[in-house]
Parts: sequence; C-alpha cells; structure tokens
Amino acid sequence: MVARLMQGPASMKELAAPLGLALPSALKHLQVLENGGIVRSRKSGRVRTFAIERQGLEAIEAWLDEHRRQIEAGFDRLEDLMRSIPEEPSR
Amino acid sequence: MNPMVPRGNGIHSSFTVERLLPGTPAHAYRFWAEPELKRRWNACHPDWTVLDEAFDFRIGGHEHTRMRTDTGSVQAVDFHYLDLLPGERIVYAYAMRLDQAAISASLVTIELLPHAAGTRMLFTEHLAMLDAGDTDLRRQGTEQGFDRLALEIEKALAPVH
Repeated sequence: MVARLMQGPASMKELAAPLGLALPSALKHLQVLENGGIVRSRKSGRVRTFAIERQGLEAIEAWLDEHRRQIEAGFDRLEDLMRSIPEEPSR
Repeated sequence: MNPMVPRGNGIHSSFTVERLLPGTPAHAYRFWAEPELKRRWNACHPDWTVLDEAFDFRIGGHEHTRMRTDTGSVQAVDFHYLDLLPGERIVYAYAMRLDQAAISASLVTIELLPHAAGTRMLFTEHLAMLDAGDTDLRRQGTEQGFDRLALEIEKALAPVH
C-alpha cells in the first residue's frame, strides 16, 4: 500500500483491489498506517482518499537507513578483523 | 511522547545484506560464536558505556547488552538464538529497547556459503518497528540519516504534489 501511495494519492478501493483485500481489512491496515503517521486521509463525499505523509515516511526511512548503515559498518569491521586474524592451517 | 512524531507501529521491513568475507565459512563462524572475537567487530558505539552484557552462544541461548548512550539513555538489546549450524547458519531473534520504549523486534538469518577461497555471507533481517517514536535513538537516526535521504525521498515523493 505504501509502495502504491508513493506514486500518488489513491482511494481505499484502489488500494484494496490489487491486493485482493476486503474493504474492512484495507481500512484496518490504513488506520494503522495513519496512526503511525505514515499516511493521511481525506474524505470527499463518500470517497476516502489516502496519501503519503511526507514527514512520517521520511522519519521511518531515516531510522531504517541508519539501522542498515550500522549493520554495514559492523560488517566492514568484521571483514577487516578476519583479514587481520587469518585461519590457521591446522584448524 | 511528541504526537507529531510517528511511533511506527505496524511498520515492517525486510532486507538482505550480502558480503564476501576473507576466510572459510568455518572461520567466519568463529567471529560470531566467540565472544572475544565478536566484541572486536560488533561494538558499534565506542562512546557508549557498557553497563552489563551476557554472552550465551547456543541454541536457546539468551544474550543481552545494556549500554548508556552518549545522551544518558539506556539502550538494551536482547538476543535469543533459535538455530545454529556451525560454519553454515545462525538464526536469532532480537529486540531493542531505549529506556522504557520498545524500539524494534527482529528475526535474523545469517547464511555462510563457501565462495572461492572465502565466504559469501547473507544477512537477512525481518524487522518490526515498535515504539520507534520520540526517542533519542530515533532522533539520532533521523539526524544522521536525514541529509543523505532527503534528496532521494523528495524525488520519490515528487508525483504526490
């Protein structure tokens, strides 16, 4: 759903259909995203439209990016350490 | 908690990091299994103070580290090893807490595959973001990652506006 919304705002129906979700399930999922500050919604007549909440997504992406950066940095150190402590032939 | 900052409840992320390591899978495994070797590469915050840590590398083993961050918060990480196959596979679950907040919970699978004279390591993490909201960790991550990401996300979100 987030991937679809990255392309632009969409109605609940448009978001649910490609995933084969019933509307109540789709709404439940979207409410979690809305409570999490990832999407926001607007109701116009009978149609509720959802869009990405830029700030929320930026913060989540930044947190995940930093998490991955730390993992990569750890593996840089692992590579260096393995190079400095090679396997002994007898092992 | 600042209501403007999202908690991230319900946000999941899966990713794989692939590395070619210098040494056989059996050798690479030692750097995960032996505390004195693991400590030398795994400590990611040299400026944080270790309050306590426990190492228990076996199936069902429970490990934890508790550290005081540079801003005075306490970060706790708990590990639980689910499966270990020496020289081949390491599977564990872990959760991060910052003070009272549960930041995230993850399942990690590490595969060590022979590759030429070395090892191809596949690290796959399935991560659930929990209360990764208005915390020092989140602020730090946001500030550190923000500059690099801002431009990319601007581009990705451009069609919205």
